[in-house]
This record gives sequence, C-alpha cells and structure tokens, in this order.
Amino acid sequence: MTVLSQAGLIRWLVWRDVTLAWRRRSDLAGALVFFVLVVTLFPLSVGPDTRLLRSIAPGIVWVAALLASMLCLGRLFADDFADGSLEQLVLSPQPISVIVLAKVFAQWLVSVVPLLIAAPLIGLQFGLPRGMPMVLTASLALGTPVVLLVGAIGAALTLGLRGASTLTSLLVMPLYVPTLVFGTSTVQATLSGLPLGADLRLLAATFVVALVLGPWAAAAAVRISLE
Amino acid sequence: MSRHATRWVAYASPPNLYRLAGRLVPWFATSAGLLLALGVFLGLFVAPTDFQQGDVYRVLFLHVPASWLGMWLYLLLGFYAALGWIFKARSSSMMAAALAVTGAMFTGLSLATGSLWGRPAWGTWWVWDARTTSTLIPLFLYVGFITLQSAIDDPRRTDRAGAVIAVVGLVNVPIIYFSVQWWNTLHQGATIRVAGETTMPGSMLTPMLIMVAGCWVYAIAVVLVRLRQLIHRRESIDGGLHGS
Amino acid sequence: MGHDGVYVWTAYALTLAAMAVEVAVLLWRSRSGRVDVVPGRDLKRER
Repeated sequence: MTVLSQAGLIRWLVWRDVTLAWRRRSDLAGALVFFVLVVTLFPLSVGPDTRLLRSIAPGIVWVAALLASMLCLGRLFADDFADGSLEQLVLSPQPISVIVLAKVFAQWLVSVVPLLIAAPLIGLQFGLPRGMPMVLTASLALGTPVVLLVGAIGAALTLGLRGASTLTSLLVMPLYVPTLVFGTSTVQATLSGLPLGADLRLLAATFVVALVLGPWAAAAAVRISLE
Repeated sequence: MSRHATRWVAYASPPNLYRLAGRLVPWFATSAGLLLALGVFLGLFVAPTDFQQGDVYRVLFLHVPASWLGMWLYLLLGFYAALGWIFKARSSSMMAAALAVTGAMFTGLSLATGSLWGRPAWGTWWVWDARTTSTLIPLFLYVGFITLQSAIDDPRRTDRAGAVIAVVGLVNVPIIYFSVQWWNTLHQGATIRVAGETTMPGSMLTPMLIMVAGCWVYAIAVVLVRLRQLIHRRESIDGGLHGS
Repeated sequence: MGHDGVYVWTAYALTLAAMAVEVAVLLWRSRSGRVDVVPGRDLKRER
C-alpha cells in the first residue's frame, strides 16, 4: 500500500467508512428513525398545546439529536476493533488523532446529516416561528460534531468491554452538558428575540475546543485499548 | 534536599506505601472518630438555634463538609490519575482508584443532605439550580470512573483508561460549571434563593470546622485502607509483594 | 427541636449510616482477603 499523506489518509478513510456504512443502510436509518420517533413521542405525552410545544421544541429536538448521535458511537470503532482493522490503521505513520478525526467526520456525514435535514421540518411541526427552524438546525450542525468528537473518547475507552455502549453513554453524558446548554440557549435566545451573539459564540467555542482536544484524547484512549 | 526527595520517592513503591498507609491508618481513624463525635455533639446539641431557620440549619454541618469533600476528592482523583498516567506510577493510579468510592459517597451525601435541608427550608426536595446541578454532575463523573474501572480486567488498562476519563472529566468540570451557571441565569424566575453563604457566628463556625476536619480525616483513613487493599490485591496478582 | 427535627435526625442518621456502611464493607473485604486493616503483621510473613 502506498504511503498516504495526512490529507490523503483522511480522504481515503472517510471514503472507506462512508462506503462501509452505506453497505449497511439499515444502520444509517436507525439514527434518523430514532430521532424522529423520540421527537414524535413528546406531543403525544405532553399534549398538543401549541404554545407549550413551541417552548419545549428546542430542548426536545436537541435531546433527541444528542441521543441519536450517541447511538452512532457504537459504530465508530467497534467494528474495526473486532475484525482487527483498527490495529492495522493505527500502524500507519500518521497520528491516530487524524484517524479519529476522519472516522468521526465520516460517521457524522452518514448518520447525523440526515438528522440535520429532518430538523427544520420538525421545527415547523412544532410551530417554531419564521427563521427558527434554521437557527435550530444551525445549532445542531455545530453541536452534533461535538457529541461525536467527545463521544469518540468514550467509545475508544470501552473497546472490547462488556456492556460497552451503556458504559460509553454513562461516561460521556456529563460531558455533554455544556453542548446541550449552549445549543438550546442559542435557539431559545432567538425565540425570545434576543441577539444571537453570546450563545452562538459559546457553542462555536465548544465546537473548536472539541475539535482540537477530542481527537487527541480519543487517540490516547485507542492506544490504551489496543494494548 | 535531594536526600529528602529520595526518601519520599521511595514511598511510591507499593510495598513501602502499603506499610506507610498501614502505620497512618490508626491515627487517622481514631482522630476521625473523635472529631466526628465532637462535631456531631456540638452541631446537634450545643450550637444555638438559628433566629431565621430554627434548628433545620444543623443539616448544614453535614451538607457543607460533604460538598467540600465530594469536590476536593474528585480533584485529588484527577491529580493522582494524571500523575500515574504521566509518570507510569502504579501507586498514583491506585490512589486515584481508592479515592473514587469515598468521593462518590460524599457527593451522594451532599445531594441527600441538601434535599433534607431544602425541603423544610424552602419547601421543595429538589431545586434545579446551579449549585444542585453542579453537585449532580460530579456524581455521574465518579460513577463513570468507577464503572469503567470495574469493567476492565487488565490492571494496566484499568489505570490508564481511568486516567483518561478522570482527566477529561477534570478538564471539563470548569466548563460544565460555567455552562450550568449560564443555564441558570437564563432560566431565572423559579425560586429566589436567600444567599446560603452568610457569615456564621463563632458558636456555629466551630462545629462546622470540626465536622469538615473530621470528614477529611475520615476520608483519609478510609482511602488509605482501600489503597492497602488495592495494593495487596494487585501486587499479589503480579507475583507477590517482596518486602524491601 | 420542633416538627422539622425529623429532617435533621434523618440527615445525621443517613450520614453516619453511610460512613458505617463504607467502613463495614472495607472491614469485610479485609477479612476475606486476609489483609490487615490495622497493621501488625508485615506482608512478607503472611505468605
């Protein structure tokens, strides 16, 4: 195999993971179906009062997206770990954090982007006023990568362990609090007519920090789990 | 100066640490018993009845030390875990593992005593505000750490995986606290809390300090015992503790 | 202590119970693991 540059590795890995995921299309639908189902359960449980639904919509959509994204974590490393390809990947001269970044990006493309397409429609379903569904989707677009980047740490730590998926959820859930708070506050601030500035900046900052530190920590975790 | 350093570094070896911990435990245990007994007695019977809150404030003598310890033990856990990871020091990693259960216990107590104080003081068992939520999250961090470590069989992986999650948690704690504060200021309007940290008169401060000291000493004693058990279990697997 | 006293007593009982349980578990573990809680014996001689 020819030696790839960092960019080349990322491109190849993303293409590989997307192709592999596409071959298991039923898995892909899983996150989207879960997302839509969870969101649909809420009007059924709290009643159809439009004002109530409008006020809880950002929270519900965000939590549903967060949980759906968390579902994908099990597919991030586990399959490659099980068949030994993760060990092969790690042997490459490129830093493992690059591999992690590529895999996270591929997973996000395949599993989360459908959610982002569904989100504005759901926003409309919940009666969010003009422009709000797009703000909601934008906040999710910034926030869901963080869920995957931070979740990758948990997924990497629990490779090969019994009950890995539950354990991963337990490990990363507290770490999602900032993302959830900043994401929903971005939407709610605009709902109340406040300027978008501070909340969006905080959300963006969370994204940047996760982008920089997440793969590094996940790489360390992968190394630990592979020994 | 370097001779002192070498003396202390010797305690990083598990057998020496085992012996040192063993010598310290009786002192800490008895001190803990005395301090806690004294603190409870003063707190329940000697401290005067508060003008505003009646006798319910006595729960604070438990709540404040528990909150403190819950927080500080997590910081120590993160510190030792990081130390063990960076310097590949088994003893430090074992210290982190030994701290976890006690820290979780105190955090849980902090939540419980907080509720038991809150209910008579302002009518609700639970308030979703910055302080209570900021105590709930560390509990999850503790439980995550403990669960992760118990799911792994290999001791080296246990140490290192624990270190990763502990350090990641530690780094996130200020961010989480900030976001909870942010969340709280956004959703103001529920109950307006009377500021908790009022200056306490001396007759109330003394039991508080004694309880804090007693809880700390108790924690040290308990953690050292757990550390000894960990060392014993680990080093037996690795081939026995060879005295030196 | 008034009718609110039940909260105070519950809190103190809960705290002392939690500590007692923690200590009890440690003691029980030492018994089955043959580890001294209070040292008197060197580990070498245990073998």
